[in-house]
Amino acid sequence: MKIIIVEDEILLAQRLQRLCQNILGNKLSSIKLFSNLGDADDYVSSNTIDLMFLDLNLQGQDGFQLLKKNMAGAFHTIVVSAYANRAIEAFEYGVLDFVPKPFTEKRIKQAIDRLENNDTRTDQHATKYVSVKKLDSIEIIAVSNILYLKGAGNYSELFLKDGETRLHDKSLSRLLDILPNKFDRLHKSFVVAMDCVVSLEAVSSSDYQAVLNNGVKVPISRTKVKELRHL
Amino acid sequence: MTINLIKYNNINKRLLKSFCFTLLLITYLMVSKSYSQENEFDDQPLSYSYQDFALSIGEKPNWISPTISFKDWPSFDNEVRKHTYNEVYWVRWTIDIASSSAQKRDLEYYISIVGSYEVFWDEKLLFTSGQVSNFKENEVPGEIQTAFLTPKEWITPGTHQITFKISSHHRRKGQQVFRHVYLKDYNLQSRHTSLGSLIPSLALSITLIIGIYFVTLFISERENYSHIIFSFLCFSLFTYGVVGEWPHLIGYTYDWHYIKEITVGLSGLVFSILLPLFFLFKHQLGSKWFVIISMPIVAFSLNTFADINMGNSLYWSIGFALSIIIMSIVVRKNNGNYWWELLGLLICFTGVVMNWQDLENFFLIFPVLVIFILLSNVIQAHRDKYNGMIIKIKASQLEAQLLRRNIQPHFILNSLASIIELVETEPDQSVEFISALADEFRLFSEIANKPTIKLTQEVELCRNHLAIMGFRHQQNYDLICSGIEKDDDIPTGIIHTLLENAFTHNDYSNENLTFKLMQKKENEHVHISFESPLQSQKESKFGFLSTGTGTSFIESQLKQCCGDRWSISNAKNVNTWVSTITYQKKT
Repeated sequence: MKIIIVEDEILLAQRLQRLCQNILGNKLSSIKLFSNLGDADDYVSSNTIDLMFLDLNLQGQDGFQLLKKNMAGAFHTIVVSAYANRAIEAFEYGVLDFVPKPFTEKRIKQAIDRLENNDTRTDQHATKYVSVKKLDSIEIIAVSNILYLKGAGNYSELFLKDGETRLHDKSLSRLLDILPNKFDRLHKSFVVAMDCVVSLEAVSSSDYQAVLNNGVKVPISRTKVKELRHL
Repeated sequence: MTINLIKYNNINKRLLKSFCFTLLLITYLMVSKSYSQENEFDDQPLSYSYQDFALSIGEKPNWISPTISFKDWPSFDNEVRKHTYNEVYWVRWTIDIASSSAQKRDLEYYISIVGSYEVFWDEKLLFTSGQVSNFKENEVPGEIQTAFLTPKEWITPGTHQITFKISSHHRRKGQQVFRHVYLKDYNLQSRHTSLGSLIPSLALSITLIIGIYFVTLFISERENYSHIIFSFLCFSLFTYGVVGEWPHLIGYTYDWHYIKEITVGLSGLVFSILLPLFFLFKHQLGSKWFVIISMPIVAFSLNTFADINMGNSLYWSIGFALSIIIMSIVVRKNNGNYWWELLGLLICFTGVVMNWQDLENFFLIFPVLVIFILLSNVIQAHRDKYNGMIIKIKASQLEAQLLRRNIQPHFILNSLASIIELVETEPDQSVEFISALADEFRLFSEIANKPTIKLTQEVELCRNHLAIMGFRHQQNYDLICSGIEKDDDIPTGIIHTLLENAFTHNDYSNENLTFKLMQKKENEHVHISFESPLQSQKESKFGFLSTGTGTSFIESQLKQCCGDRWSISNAKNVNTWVSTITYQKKT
């Protein structure tokens, strides 16, 4: 796993580094420290990473701006900040976790676990926006406007209620990490907003598909069909 | 507290508005009343000019005869008046009584002459005041002011001769002989009997009581000299009024008239000097102005004292004009405050100009000025109380701001997080760090409610903060002081704030650094320069969090402690950023 730490307090940056090394052990392939937003931004735009620890106040600079910009990126962000009052806002922009300062190893482990285990999603701090990269800018899309998502290799295709589609840099799994519980993975390649499902339709005796309220049909995997039958 | 303050301010504003309106109404009534009285006074059926008067010197009994021609007598003009007569002299003139009005009227003579006299109507003796004599020792001084009726049967249509036989051995050289000679319709309700005495008495009583009141104010508040000046202002005007009204109220013989005029002149002069002086002291305009103001008064008064009547009008006007100049400066300096006093002065000045020839009645208008000054005091007291409340609120806000900065999440939680790391990795350092943090809290709780602290305390605060930041950034930071006078006071927390600002805007995490604090004194000005290393952050597309409280805190503290006498400037050098604060302590 490739991690960067964006933190201007040298002791805290060292602490995060130490804790990550303790928690991830061999899984950690690289870890880099940045004390300002500019350097961190330059790095993530030309390197692939999996996780960013981000402080929200770096010598007066607003870390939130880096957060907003990089929510469109392929990696996850964990905010580590003294400003606990900004946690809700951070979750709305789709951070994986918000760790208030001061923090313990246990709390950092809990945050990293979220990345490795998809089942830690909660509705408590539901993501409200996802951002996608456009040519020169970032477009922010309301989660409520997403009908379903389709995996496309390391990317995801977002199908919006207005019929448009967007390509997101995060994989389907990573997007699912931060999306609210109403999004369910009906198929290896499809994640659907369940409140938009109108009916289930049998294609054959074992194959089913979900009919969405705009008439689009999305395949359902066999294991998911079984799961749904139990409900 | 803020809501109460607004309510307090609104209620008082309403009260003041209604009070001001009532006051303006009273002023209007008093001024118009005083003015209409002057008109009534001029309304005489028969009057004469001195040019009609003829004069002859010596004792000749037949000069009372109407048949004696006085064509050869010199006319009684100003030049003759100034002559000192050592013997009896005669003044006579003729009057015409129209047939229609004759014998239907009671005619009253109202006479004020500086001398003993006998009055003859044609050749009949009409009235005697004192005893006329060629020799000083035989003369009995007559009353300065008398009024008597002319028998109705004497008032026949045609020409009549009025003859005065006068001796005035007790008169001083230059003193005017004839003050008033009016022949007018007799009126029981005349100004000289009832209303004419009531209003002056009332005005004089008010003046006296206010004078005494201000003496008591001075006794209770010794350092305020404007109170004692104002009481003497009242007493001088009281003297002016009482002596001026004495002929109407009690009367005296003409030999006392010189004393009366000197007293009136002196009390008027004292008033004219005290008036601008009062405003100077009240508004603490400084000794420079005192010299500027007092010089012309003294010069003019010395110059004009010879002619008391003229002099009075002149130095009264000068006194008021100077007061108006002073108050204009005061109003300008105080952004429009105290304009009530200026208004009162302008009204009184108008009164002086309108009564130029007859200033005896001036003190009728004076209570208006007193009321305006008192009103101005009330308004100022109200304003001071309001400002006092604002200052209190501001002070507690600043205290809260200072304390809040100390417990703001970014500072305290980052410090705690750093301590946790040190506890796990460098326990010894963590103990020192905790101790420094505790020192910072203790120092802040000691100073937060003080508007100023000793410069050494501020330096201690800064060094402690540098120690904390040193632990956090794992660097050594130092503060070098030069020219610091340890007993000097400084508005609380301003250098500490500059230090915090430096950490907010610079990336100090990479090397050991030195900060500098310098103090210089020039006369009453204190210059404090704080130099911080410039370690600019990389040019970044990312904006800054708007904390913005640092500079405004410094400005508020300086305003609180130094009023408007402070300035702050910043200079960017190659490697340093220098903030210079210059202030002059409130006196």
